[in-house]
Amino acid sequence: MNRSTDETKTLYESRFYDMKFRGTSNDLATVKIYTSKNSFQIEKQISFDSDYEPVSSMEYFAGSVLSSILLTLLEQSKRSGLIIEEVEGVLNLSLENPLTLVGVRGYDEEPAIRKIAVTVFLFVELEDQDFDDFCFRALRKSPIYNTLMRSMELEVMFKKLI
Amino acid sequence: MSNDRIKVGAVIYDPRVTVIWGIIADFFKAEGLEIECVFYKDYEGQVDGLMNREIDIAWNSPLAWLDTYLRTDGKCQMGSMRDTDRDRKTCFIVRKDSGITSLDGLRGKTIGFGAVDSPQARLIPINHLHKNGLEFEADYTEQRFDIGVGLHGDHVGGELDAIRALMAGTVDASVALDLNWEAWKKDGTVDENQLACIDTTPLFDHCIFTAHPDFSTERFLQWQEVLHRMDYSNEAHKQMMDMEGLKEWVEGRITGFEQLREANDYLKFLNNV
Repeated sequence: MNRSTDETKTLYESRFYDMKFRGTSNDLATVKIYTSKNSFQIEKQISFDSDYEPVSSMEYFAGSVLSSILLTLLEQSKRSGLIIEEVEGVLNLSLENPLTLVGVRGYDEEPAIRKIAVTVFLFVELEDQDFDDFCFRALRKSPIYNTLMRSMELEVMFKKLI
Repeated sequence: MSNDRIKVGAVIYDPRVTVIWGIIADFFKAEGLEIECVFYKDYEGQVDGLMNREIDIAWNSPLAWLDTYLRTDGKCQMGSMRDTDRDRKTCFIVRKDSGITSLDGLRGKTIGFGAVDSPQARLIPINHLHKNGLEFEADYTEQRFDIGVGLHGDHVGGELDAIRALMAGTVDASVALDLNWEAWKKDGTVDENQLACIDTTPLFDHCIFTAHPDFSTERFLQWQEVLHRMDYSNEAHKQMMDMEGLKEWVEGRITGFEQLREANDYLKFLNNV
């Protein structure tokens, strides 16, 4: 019997993993997000106050992007039998039209994340070409990277720690 | 009721500045007088907003004050200013090795100015040159650094680019507000051994709160009374006052805008933009 290559005959569960989140705002000021097992509170989309401590939507978003990339590298290294001895990433994000967000009259352009640049520093026993091959192959396993790279300017650079 | 709130306008070019106004609004609320902050992209929009009564009080640049003053036939109400807004002056800077030692030495030279609408880095110094016998568009070449047009020189970029051009040798002189010149010497932005201030304008004033002519004078005075309760010796107030760059709110005055009025007449600026 030949193996089917027809996507329509593949089980839905094999092609998609569905997740559901719930958000509520009892005080009509902050939002509580419920995952399947946990919940967390978000007070602001973004804060321009350097003293503001709670995590904002924008910070969760950036943290999600960076952590997905780093975790993908760690997971893929284990699967390929490589040992990453050190890893660290830096994410720079440019929010376009922030003044629309704070309601400055005269600014109407939609606020959006214009660009994300991620630099990952890795210590792993691989030579230059193998290092690049591993990093970029692993990166392709990050669902968040794959999603964002289709919709925005997302640059990821890898640097080898010596 | 929100309708009772006094609406205060401010021009914002950096979202972080809204944090300062949030702290100021919280201070007023704690003092029992609620304000609503309304933010504008530029001073022209803010003066429009004041004239349309979108706001009751505007935190105005000197040029925005003049614009309001002219549009209301002098009937707008003048409010407080920061202690640091009083008695400012603009410095004329040259390279020490240029041999230029006085304003007359700038005849035929290229002078770097800030943004087109900057009182301190263009309008007032041009008027000062005029009063010292150097006519605009005749006796020297203007090299303008138009950073943040519409912000009336609030953004330091134009003045900074002008002095950088001076250091690079592409202009023969540049102008800068005294506070900026002193700060740049202190933080190493400029080399004091290479540059010299050859002249300064007479003293002038800077920003000022301005209320619409129809806004209740009693409420304006009440608002200012609360504003003046900010105390630099109070740690909570100090942080807010440091962010706004003052140690004390002082009585406003319009005598310090005389040079700007002369500059506007000389350049016919508000008639031309």
